[in-house]
Amino acid sequence: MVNQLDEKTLIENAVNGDQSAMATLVDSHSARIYSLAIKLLQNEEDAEDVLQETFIIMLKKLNTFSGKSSLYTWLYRIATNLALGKLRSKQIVNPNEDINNLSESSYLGKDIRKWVNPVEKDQDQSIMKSCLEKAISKLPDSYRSVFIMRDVENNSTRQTAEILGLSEANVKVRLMRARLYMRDRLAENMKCVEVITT
Amino acid sequence: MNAHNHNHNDSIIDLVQKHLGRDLGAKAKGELKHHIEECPDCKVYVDSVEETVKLYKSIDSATDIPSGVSERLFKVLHLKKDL
Repeated sequence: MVNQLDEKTLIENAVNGDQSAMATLVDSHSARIYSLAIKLLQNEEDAEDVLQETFIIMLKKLNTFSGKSSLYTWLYRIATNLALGKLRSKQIVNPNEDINNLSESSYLGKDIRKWVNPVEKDQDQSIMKSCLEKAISKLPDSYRSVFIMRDVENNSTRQTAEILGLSEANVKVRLMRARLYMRDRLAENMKCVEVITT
Repeated sequence: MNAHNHNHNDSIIDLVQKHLGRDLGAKAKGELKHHIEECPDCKVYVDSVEETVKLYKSIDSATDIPSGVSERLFKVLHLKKDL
């Protein structure tokens, strides 16, 4: 990863046709963009398409990059829009209608299960990782994108709403439902629950 | 399993949601903390949702880009990786 000052010079050089600078910029950001695309799309082939399209756009439009945000933020938005476009074009029918019925108020009226941190219980990290990956792959795209943007990529509610073209209220509802869904799937899969009685 | 059957008013539900969304001010945080101290179900609920997010983040190390993917990227861009 190059520092911001170096990056500014690299961008100037790349805009002026310096292939070495272009290669360094691509090399510096490609792993993070690929990782983001994999998380959003859950498909290696689609993620590779998004990766390539993102950097094709970068090289074509780098002269329009204003420098107000970091280059990564700019690339991140391009990649996210491409990934969301891909998801929309597939028009996947929501595979998990149950999640639409989750709400905080209904949750607080249900059984509450306490579960122990599996790491503290020395459970196998790979099993936990597999459970979490399985859970996130089952999240409908519209919920997974909010969860990734907000909780994993640490965007604010407003930034997430802007990137995804949603209202802030909608982001909050989707995030809450996604977290509840993830929490329940994790608890079921890890079999590390104990019921709290009231 | 016993149901968590005491009534939560809308303000507590809103506070819990804001807390989980990290959108809570100091005063509201105090209010929620006070409620959670007296409500084990809410504590379990908030803790477990937070733990889920934490666990996901802990396993979410950046995916290494496979060498083949990287090679094809540079080829598509007509760039040489080791210039």
